[in-house]
This record gives sequence, C-alpha cells and structure tokens, in this order.
Amino acid sequence: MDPILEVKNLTKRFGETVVLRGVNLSAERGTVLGVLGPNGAGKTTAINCLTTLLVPDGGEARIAGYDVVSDPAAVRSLIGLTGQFAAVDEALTARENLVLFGRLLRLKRNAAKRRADELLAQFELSEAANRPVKTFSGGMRRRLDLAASIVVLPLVLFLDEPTTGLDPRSRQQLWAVVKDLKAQGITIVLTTQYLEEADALADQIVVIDRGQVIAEGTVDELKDRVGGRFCELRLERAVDLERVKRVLDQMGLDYAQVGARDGERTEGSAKTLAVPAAEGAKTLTEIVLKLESEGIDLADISLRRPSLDDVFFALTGHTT
Amino acid sequence: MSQSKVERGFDSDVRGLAREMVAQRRETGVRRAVEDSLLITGRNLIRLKRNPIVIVAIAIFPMVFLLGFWIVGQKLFAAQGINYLQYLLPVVNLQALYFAGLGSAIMLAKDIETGMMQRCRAMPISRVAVVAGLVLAYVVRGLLATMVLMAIAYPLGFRFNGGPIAALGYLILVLTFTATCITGYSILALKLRSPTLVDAVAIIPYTPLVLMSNGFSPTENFPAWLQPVVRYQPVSVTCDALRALVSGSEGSLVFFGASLLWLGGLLVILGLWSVRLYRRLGSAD
Repeated sequence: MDPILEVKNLTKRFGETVVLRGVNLSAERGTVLGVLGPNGAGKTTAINCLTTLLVPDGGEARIAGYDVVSDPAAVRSLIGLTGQFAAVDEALTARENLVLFGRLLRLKRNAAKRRADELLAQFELSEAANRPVKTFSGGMRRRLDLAASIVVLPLVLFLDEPTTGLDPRSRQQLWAVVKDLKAQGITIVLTTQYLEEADALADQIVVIDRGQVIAEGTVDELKDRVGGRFCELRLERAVDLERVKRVLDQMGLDYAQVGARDGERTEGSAKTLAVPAAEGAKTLTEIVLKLESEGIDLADISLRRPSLDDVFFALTGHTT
Repeated sequence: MSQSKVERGFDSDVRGLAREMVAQRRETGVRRAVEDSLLITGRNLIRLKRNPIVIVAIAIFPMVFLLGFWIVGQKLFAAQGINYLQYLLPVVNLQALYFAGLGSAIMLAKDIETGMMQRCRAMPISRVAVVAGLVLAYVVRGLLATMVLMAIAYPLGFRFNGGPIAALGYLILVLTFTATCITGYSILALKLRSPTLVDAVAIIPYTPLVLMSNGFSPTENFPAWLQPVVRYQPVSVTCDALRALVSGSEGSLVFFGASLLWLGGLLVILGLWSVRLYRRLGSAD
C-alpha cells in the first residue's frame, strides 16, 4: 500500500539560505506523523511546501498520488491546513466564519449552515457561535481555526504547531480533538517543538534539524535512543561533588554532569548531575535518602523527562 | 491471494476517494472566480459594515471636508469668479476614494498578518478570489461614499449639469480612481505585511497628491515654480475632468480622456507590480 503522503528529497532555498536540504517524509493513511524540531529547523517551510503555499526547489512530494508542484489545485482539494496563526476572520462571528469556509468549499448554503452547527457543537463553541471572533480567547480561536480546516473532511490535515501559546487546558482539549480526527480516518501531519506533544499524538516521529531529517521512528524508538526520565540533582556545595559521585557508584547508578555538553562551564554545572531514573520516583527517593544519610545537602532535586534539548543533544551532539 | 486483493482494494479506495474530492473542488474557471470572489466580497463588506471608522469615513469625513472648505473658501473664490461648491466637490469625492484605497491596504495587510491570506491560498478556491473580493468590496465603499457626498451636496446647492452621459463618465472615473488607489496601496500592504506599519506609512502620499493639486484651489493660485507639477499630476487632471463633466462643458471629453490615460496607465503599472509582489507572498515569510 502506498503511503498517502510521500516526500522525497525536498529542498528549498530562500536566496542564499538553504532551509530544507533533502527532507524525506512519509505517512500511512489514518496515522499521525509528528514532525519535531526546534525553531528555524524548517518545519513550517516543509509544511508550506506540502500545502502548495511554497514551490520547492527540488525533490518530490505527493499526496494520494497527486504531485504538489505539477498538480497543486488537486492537492489543495485534498488537504486541510491549520497554520501557526489562527487564521479566522476576527470581525465575523464563529458561525459566519464556518459558513464562509463551507461555501468556499462548495457546500450549498443550507449544508454549510448545518455543517457549521455540527462543528460548533463538536468544538464546544456553540455558546459563542454568534459572537465576533475578536472576543474569543486564544484557546477558542484555535479551536475555531481547527474547525475551519475540517469543514470538509480532508484526506490529510496539516497542523503547524497547533498548541503553541495555549494554556494547558486548551492544549489538552486540542489533543483530544486531534485523536478524534484520527479516529475518523484522517491522516494528520503535526509539527511541534514539544516532545510530549509528539509523544501524546504521533504514531511516527520525524526529527528535523537545520533542514534535514536527523531521526525517525516511533516515539518509543526515539526515547530509547535518547534515554528516559532522569533525576537532576543540584548540590548545595560544589565540594560535595566527588562524594556524591562515589555514593552513586555504590548505588550502582550512572550519572552525567549537566552543563558540560556545551563545552562551557555554566555556573551550575559544577554542582549539577543527571542520573537516569528508570524507576522514576523510586530512584529519586532512594537518592534523597542515601544522600541525606551521608550528610550531603542538596539544593534541588527533580524528576525530569527528556526535553527537546536532550533529544537533540543525543542525536546531534549539540543543543537547539 | 485474497490479502493482495484487500490491499489493492484499500489502495483503490484512497485513489477513488481522492479522485472524487479533486473533481468536486475544481478551482479554475470563470464561474468559480465569480462565485468565490463574490463570497469574499460579501465577507469584506461585513467587515466594513462592522468597523465604525468606515461609517465615519463614508459619511462624516466627506461632509466635514465639504462644509469646512466651502464655508471658508466660498467668498474668497467667488471673488475669482468661481462657484466653490461646484469646484470643490470632485476633490472631496476623490479624497474619499483615496481613503478607501488606504483602507483596503490595511485590510489586505491584516489578512496577510493573521494568516487568512495563507489559508485562502491553501484552499481549493479561485486564485483571484481574495484580491478580487477586496477590490470589489472597496469599490462598493467608494460608490457609497460618492452617493453620500452627492446627497449632502445637493441640499447645499450643488447641481450635476452634465447630463446622463457625463454622469456615466463621472462614474467611470470614480471607479477607475478607486481601483487605482486600491492597487497602489496594495503594493504597500504586500511589502509591509503589517496593518500597523501600513497605517503609519500610508498617509505619506496624501500631501503631494491631494493637497498639491488643483482640487482645492486653481493652479494659478500656486507659486509659479509649483504650477507645472500641480497642473499635470493625476489628481489635478482627474479633478479637471470631473469638474468638466459636472458642468457639462465643451472640453469635457478631452479632460476625460486625459484623466483616463493617467489613471489607466497607473493602474496597469501598479497592477503588474502588485501581482508580482502577490506571487512572492509565499517566500520570505
């Protein structure tokens, strides 16, 4: 079975700068593809190429077999896009926005109205349906934005950093909607800076840095490469460092000095250690108890998940 | 055997579905262009209707300018043998259209900044819809402003003496002038891409174009070194034409032609420039 999205060697230059250097992507129908990368990695540029907003300089991209360069009109009729900025009309009400998009997508007036009501209910915007969008909160605007891109269900939906700037509750709501859409059979391509978002939503992840794919696989595969959760210890006194290291050795735990990765000594790096914590809080508790019994003071201890920085460091040897 | 049949079946399901979707949403063709443009025009008109500044711009500004200048200048210009109300109306009209052009640039910049433009470009709608919808909505605004102005001026004593053909000519110049202003200002919007920036910069051409024209005062009243500029610049030429059409005078066809030449030429040049900038919207985001 051919993947519904196939991207080979996608290249894009802006003047002298090469933003995409041969990106390869693919997505099977009904799955969520997460594109993970820091700012400036080229995620938005890649999405813009795939949604026909930009013409790539090289490579090939097909959606359901239609080429984005030679058949952009066809591609546009198969996709939905929710860009980085909530692109809905502020002066219009929520309902007016959805009806407008419905009619632009060839729904007859009554069908457009019915679909608008359906979406307003699905996205919990029915109460605010007749208020102008400029009165909406960021989360509501985002929901409307997402609703607008599925007025007619697309084959492939592109979400460009959909939860950036949202509060945690709105973020959870959006995640629920995305899962719902996936259940309806829509293929979703999602770009994000947040590992937990990719973790929560994506079946496959592609990590992009500086215009290239540096890793791909399932979330679990990626995390295995990076390492799981870890404890970060910050000592009260730098002199205790060697003692702590010996204690950890005795406990049979690995550790790494944090901050040394940049090659520079940051102020805290002489006092901060990262300890892989396969058993999570249990490991943390053990460390705390042991260090206390040794009389070593900790300024801070926390249980952390790998951040995007950690992912990048593991994959590229440099931070974002 | 049955496995591959199922796989092929699923595959052809996607292809069939895709074909159907593509067929349903063709974006080319005149009918699409008209339908989509009208939908966007409708949207823009709603935006205009709900913006209080627009009401002020259409109704109050022209009235204030007309009354203000007329009251101040009436006696002065009567001494030069000029009926100032008849003289003044065209430039107040053009000014209202000029501000319509300025407004359209702000709306366009808003659409670019908010990502609405991007959304429309990624949708299977006619490629001309967004721009055509903008131009049409603002031409409607320009026409409304013209009608309001006429309605205000008539009770004051203004008369259109040119007859129906001249009235048509007046309308043509009004429409062309509006379109030229919109197109010219769209260049600003496409370059600056921010409504606040456009707002700040947009007023700059106003002084040389509108104030240094013969709209408010005959060319002869300007200092000699400025007169050639004043006499031949497009706003002056258009005012001459509009005044001639209003009074139904003999030379109105010549004036009309000159104005149309100026405005038409500008429209073409600015239009080509604007289209080129529009095409480059994809890059440098």
